[in-house]
Amino acid sequence: MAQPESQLAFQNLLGQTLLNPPNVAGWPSGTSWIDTSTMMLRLKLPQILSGIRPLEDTPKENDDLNMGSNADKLQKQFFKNQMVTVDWAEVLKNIGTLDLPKILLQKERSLPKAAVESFGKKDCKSEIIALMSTPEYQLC
Amino acid sequence: MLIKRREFLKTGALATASLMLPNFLGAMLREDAVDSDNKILVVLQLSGGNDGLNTIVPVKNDIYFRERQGIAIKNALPLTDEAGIHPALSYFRELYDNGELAVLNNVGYPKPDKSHFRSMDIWHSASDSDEYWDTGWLGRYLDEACHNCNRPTQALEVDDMLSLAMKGRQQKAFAFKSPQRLFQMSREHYFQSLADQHHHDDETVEYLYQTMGSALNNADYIFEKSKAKATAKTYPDTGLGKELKTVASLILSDINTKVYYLSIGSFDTHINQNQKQAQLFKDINEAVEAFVNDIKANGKFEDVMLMTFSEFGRRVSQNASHGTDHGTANQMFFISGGLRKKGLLNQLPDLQNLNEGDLIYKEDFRRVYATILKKWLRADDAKILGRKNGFYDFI
Repeated sequence: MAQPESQLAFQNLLGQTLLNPPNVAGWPSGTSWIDTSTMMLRLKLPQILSGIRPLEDTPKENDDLNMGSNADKLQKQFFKNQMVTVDWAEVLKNIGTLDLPKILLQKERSLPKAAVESFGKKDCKSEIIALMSTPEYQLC
Repeated sequence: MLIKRREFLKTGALATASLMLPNFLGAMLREDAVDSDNKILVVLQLSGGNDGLNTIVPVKNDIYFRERQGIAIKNALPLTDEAGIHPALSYFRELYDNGELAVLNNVGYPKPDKSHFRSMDIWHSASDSDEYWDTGWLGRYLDEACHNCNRPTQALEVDDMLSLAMKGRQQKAFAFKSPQRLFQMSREHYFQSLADQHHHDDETVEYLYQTMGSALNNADYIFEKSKAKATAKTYPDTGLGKELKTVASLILSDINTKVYYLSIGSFDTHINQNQKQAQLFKDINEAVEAFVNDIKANGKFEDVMLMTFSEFGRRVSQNASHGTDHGTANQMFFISGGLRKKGLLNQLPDLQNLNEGDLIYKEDFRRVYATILKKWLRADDAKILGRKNGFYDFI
């Protein structure tokens, strides 16, 4: 990602800012990292980062950082134009010939293979995106 | 008219059932049997720490004018001899005159925290300031009231992200930014096909599949409800205006939602406060006016309560940048046609006895939550809040 701000915004949207837990008690445990909003964003993330679909979610404002200024608004503009380049040539060279479900997923028994194949049948790139857009991939 | 297969099956099943069952059993079969006491809570969060002293203005208080020479509100609209309201909140004065507004002053909690995030956490979770809870008061209300709901739409947040207040231990509310976004989500064919065709394996994967399925199904369901009886009234073309229009449309439909959650901000007015606060108040004033008129015209105002809060108030003295810095206690607004006590419920803040320049809270916000939970939503407040807090009598 060309702008480091983009990474922060994604972390904010998922409620998981690196090295910055919500309070001194640390990260909440169990299923609290996942709700319908964070789940859907996670599923859409591979398509967003590949430039197939736009990112439409906006993080909540962080008043502790902004101190009443417009810092967040600027960050949001950056964020909407997030410049992400995936080096697909390199990706395909390295893993393109391998058994993709096996190397991308830890658990694949629940995976509805037909659905994934029909979404990812076009080429190797779309198969990678299809596999990364599954609930199974969230457990990697 | 196009009827979806799913809805057709539902209607068919009901028609058959109601032929064979007495009426009252038929009613119980309905997916969202609405109880007669169907009270609805709309929470409006003023993010960033709204300056309460320039909202409800102590118009006769010398200390107020002395400490705020550059930003004191001199043209407040009179409420009582002692108190006025910010001129941009003219509709709130009307509500006050009609007995449809109650204001509780000096609300806070012991040992207040002045970080936005932390203080908001405390307001959302309803913990003490030295405790860290990872569930919210409305989320725990869902755990309590909705442990066997087949549609977890009892609490909805109008936002891209779900707030801590809306996350319970077992249940979580559903967040959506707009009906259009719901529509898009309900048409995610790939995710829908994953949800339909996946195999049951271990618990963790299944939980993720359930969360995904719930998102897709709810999106479809709420979108249908939001247009079933969409309001035809005109709302201001602002963020809050559109959001309250969506909420009004849902209230008019037969969806089972009891709690709606919205936020507006930022009220963090360290610099040039008067301009910023007046603009936000103008947006709120216009949106709330459209909303209340709409709800009233549909005869629901006695069953709807709009409540506002902010994570803290601001210091009594202004700063050097014509703004104010983070403070402590603040007022809360309650707007409804069903209030038992109206107007100013208690004394204005005491500006003489301060704690290092900050107001000293007199009312605990958890007592407000207890009152709302018990008397408005008919829930077990002590269980949800983890202790007994007593009640106010404005509901």
